[in-house]
Amino acid sequence: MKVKDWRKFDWPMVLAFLALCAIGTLEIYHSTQLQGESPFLTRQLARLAFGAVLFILALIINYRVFFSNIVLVYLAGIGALFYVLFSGIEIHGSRSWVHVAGMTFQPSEFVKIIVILALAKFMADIPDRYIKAIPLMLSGFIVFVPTLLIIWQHDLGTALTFPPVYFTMLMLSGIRRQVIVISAVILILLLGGSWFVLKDYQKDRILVIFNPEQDAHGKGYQTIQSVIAIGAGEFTGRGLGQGSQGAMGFLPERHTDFIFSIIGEEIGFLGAAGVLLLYLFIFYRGLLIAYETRDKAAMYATVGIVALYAVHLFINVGMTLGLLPVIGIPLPPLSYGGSSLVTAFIAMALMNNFQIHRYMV
Amino acid sequence: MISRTPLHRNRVLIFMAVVLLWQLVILGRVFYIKVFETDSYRELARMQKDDLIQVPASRGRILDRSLEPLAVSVPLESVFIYTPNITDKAATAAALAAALKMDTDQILQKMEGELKFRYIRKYVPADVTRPLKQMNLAGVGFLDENKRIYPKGRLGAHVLGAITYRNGLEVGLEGLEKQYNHALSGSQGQLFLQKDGLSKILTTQVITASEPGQTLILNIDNQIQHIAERELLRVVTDNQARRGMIVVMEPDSGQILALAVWPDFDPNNLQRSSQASLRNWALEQYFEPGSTFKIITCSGVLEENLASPDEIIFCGNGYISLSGHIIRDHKPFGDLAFADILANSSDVGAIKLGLRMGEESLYRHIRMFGFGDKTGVDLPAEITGRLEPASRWSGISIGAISMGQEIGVNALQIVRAMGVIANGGFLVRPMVVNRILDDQGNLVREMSPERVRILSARTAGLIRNALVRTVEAGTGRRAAVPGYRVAGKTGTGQIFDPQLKTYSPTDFTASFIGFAPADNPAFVAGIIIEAPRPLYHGGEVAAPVFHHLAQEIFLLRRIEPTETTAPPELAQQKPPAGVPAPTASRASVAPLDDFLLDGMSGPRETVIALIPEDSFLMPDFSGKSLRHVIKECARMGLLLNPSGSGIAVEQIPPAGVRINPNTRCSVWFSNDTEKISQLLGIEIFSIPRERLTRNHGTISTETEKDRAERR
Repeated sequence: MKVKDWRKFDWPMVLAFLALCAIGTLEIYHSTQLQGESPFLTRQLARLAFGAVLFILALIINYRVFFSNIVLVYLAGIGALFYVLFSGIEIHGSRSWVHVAGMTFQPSEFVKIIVILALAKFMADIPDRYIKAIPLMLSGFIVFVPTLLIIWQHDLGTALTFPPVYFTMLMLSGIRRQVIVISAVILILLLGGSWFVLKDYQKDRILVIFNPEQDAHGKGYQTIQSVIAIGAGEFTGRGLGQGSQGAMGFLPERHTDFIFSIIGEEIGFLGAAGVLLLYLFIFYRGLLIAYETRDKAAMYATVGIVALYAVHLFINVGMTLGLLPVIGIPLPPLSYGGSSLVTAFIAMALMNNFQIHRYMV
Repeated sequence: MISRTPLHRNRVLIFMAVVLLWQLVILGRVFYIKVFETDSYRELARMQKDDLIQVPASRGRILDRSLEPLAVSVPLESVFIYTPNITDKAATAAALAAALKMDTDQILQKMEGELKFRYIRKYVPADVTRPLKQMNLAGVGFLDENKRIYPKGRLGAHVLGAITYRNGLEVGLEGLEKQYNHALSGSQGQLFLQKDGLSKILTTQVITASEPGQTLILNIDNQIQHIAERELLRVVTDNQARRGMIVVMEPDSGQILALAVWPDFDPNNLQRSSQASLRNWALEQYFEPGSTFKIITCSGVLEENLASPDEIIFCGNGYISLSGHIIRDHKPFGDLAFADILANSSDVGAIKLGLRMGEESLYRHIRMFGFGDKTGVDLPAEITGRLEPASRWSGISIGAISMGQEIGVNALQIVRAMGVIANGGFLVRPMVVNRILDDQGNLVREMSPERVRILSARTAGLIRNALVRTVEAGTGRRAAVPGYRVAGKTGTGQIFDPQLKTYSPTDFTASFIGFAPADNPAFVAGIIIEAPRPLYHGGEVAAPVFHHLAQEIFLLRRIEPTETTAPPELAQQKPPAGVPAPTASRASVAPLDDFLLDGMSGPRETVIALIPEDSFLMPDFSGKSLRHVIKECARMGLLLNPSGSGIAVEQIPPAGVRINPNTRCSVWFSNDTEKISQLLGIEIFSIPRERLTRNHGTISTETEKDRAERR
């Protein structure tokens, strides 16, 4: 690799990413003080280190290696999902974790990137201007299999991230406008129709979003506490470790899925807006890469990655603000969670990889 | 692999736009709840971590004059469970059941319920909870609570009153608990708590310590109270009375020694008491006193020097004609000595004395005795009674009032009036509380007796002698206690029946108000029994109660007999010789038989009804109240057909027409001032009620002061 290629390395984007990691680590530390001697900080630091190693690996290996071996990689991912399904560890009702070398991994997180790469490769290889029915179905199959497996793991949150990402990539890959409109209509009808299929407790979960007070100590508790945390933060926040919602433990899952609420409480509007701007900046830089690259596969993959994190941000922040139902979905790299953090590092590395290895074949 | 023109690149822009849009939505929402709703969220966050707990103060005690506790607050504990924290349900339930002597299954049932916080048992003594606390059971907690207990049960219930709970605080509902609620309550303390999301308490800080309530020491003597209640219960059950009350007061100081009211209630178990039984009828209702009121008329005449104490007064041939009506006495007495008017309770005699005074003077005298004013006793809900100003009296009123009709008094008022005779001429303020101590036993406040002279000692002495004679040889003979000089007056008042709209032919208020020993009274007592049957005379129903009461009080107070007299049988059979009345020789001529125990005769003869002569003139009702018209018609035997409400504006037959009893008459009432003015040809102003009552009669300095104080 030549030095000149390093000039293509997107420092601003990576710095923004590291800033998010720092904010996340800080808040994980402060919101887990209640339990006394906190193991969270050391684990988080270890994960960051591990993420950095993978980052470098995913950066220096020419991305074309991944694409040319994409079938193998994809099959390995599917295999991992199967493995988890039969001999994984169950946490919070989802069987999504495996033990490897003393560490717990959640393969579905890595599979997200694998599926994006597979889709990107598949779509790039389609010669037509508009995608035809058979390739469309095949591409759907690529997404459908892992999604189904993840649903079987009872990890609905993770599974839900796949369709929007797939849809975004489809849009770019040349699906006809009519198909987009028709599928949108079908989707809406499906969503509407599913209301009549949903069980009462599932309906409750959805209804409670719009009126969390109706079940303030049950299904609405999480949302109410989250909104209180954000609302109590005012403009500049209550100071690190000063937020009663987080530091005194009123908000459950505060260091994982609800880290954004704690940021809102302790660093206030400035913190929340800052975090949102950092994400927006990363997305912007990502899309810039996608716009500039000449490699269709790289372009699709970049957009897919940006879409993935945009979906995370959409859903996660939406639920902390009480705009969306509470489905367990983290906000990498802020949230405490090893696999999603490491995956984010890999995703970052890949986007830079596309940039650096633009002209290398 | 590298393609020059990747397709649909512009769709990246659409994607960017969607991301941006969502970002804006999020940012907007964050901004909104942070900037516009931040205060409420901050408050919500604060509320769930901080708690300001009110620490209740222990309520002050109420002790009788011998420091016997009548109301105390006992510190007790309540045992509760918090189900999420219970580790072993079966074992916990078993331990609780064993310690609290409860059923294990019942406790288990509570643990299974949906509520996380459940009381297992309220109000348990500390020695029961101590072993439980030592076990340190997870999910089991204890709350300090105070329970108000009345150790003597129903004793003095109407004096003590009761408490209720408002916002979790003890609040006096009736009686002293209400009147002295502020002093008894003390002040709550405040405790600041900070807790975490699991409700674990992190810090506590006492903001203000609670201050225990003050102790009331009463004038009530629990033994006399007990006697009074026992005797009251006996007399009301024996005579199937509707209500009854006994008031015992020290005449010199106004200290209330006992105040018994029936029906009574159990302050320890308020839920099972009827609302009516909570009411203190001795203060909250008025009744027509009847003959006991004659002491006011008689003392007034003497005080104004309108009669001499040894004057012989002709009490008619059993009737007197007054403004066109004939009032019949229960017996033609002929000539009666002044003292014997009281002893025999002659209505005609009383009316004649009243007439000598005249309306204004009589009214002034009645006001002087404190009627028409509250007595100012330190108990809630006292009423002033009913007393029309002299300017609104009808022609017959002076007669009726002279003998205790047309006037409404509460039990304490009439007892206090008798107290004036007993203590030699002083109107006192009845007081239940003697002094107030703080929780350390230091004196906070001592109630000083309030009294004002309204009668000369001479007049009081003369009336006293007449009252002694009433008990020794008159209508009050059954109150006599051999060996003691007892003074008193019987009364049989009529009761207005709202359904018949006239006096009830069967229901009377039997009363006896007296004091003993007559020359140095230890107490003045009133026994008032409402609607006893079949006996209803004050002398038959109430006087014997005084006898029992006095006997026991003499024993309690170690009051030795002053006279060696004939055995009680004799005393009750015939009048003793040598009665210390100035005109004994002539007065004792009047024979006294058992039928003449009181100023009333039986219902057969229509009690104190004013029977019109054969024909009379239709009165002018215009401008009179409905009440007044009903009363007048009842007196005159007219059959009234009223319509409307307010003031009488029209009537048939018209005024001045000669009519007979049982004539049917229609009267229309109206509130329409314009119409009234037109009909009556006068201008009508609404006069403030206060002015109406204040501008009439003499108000003693004592009552003025009283009022100012109350205000």
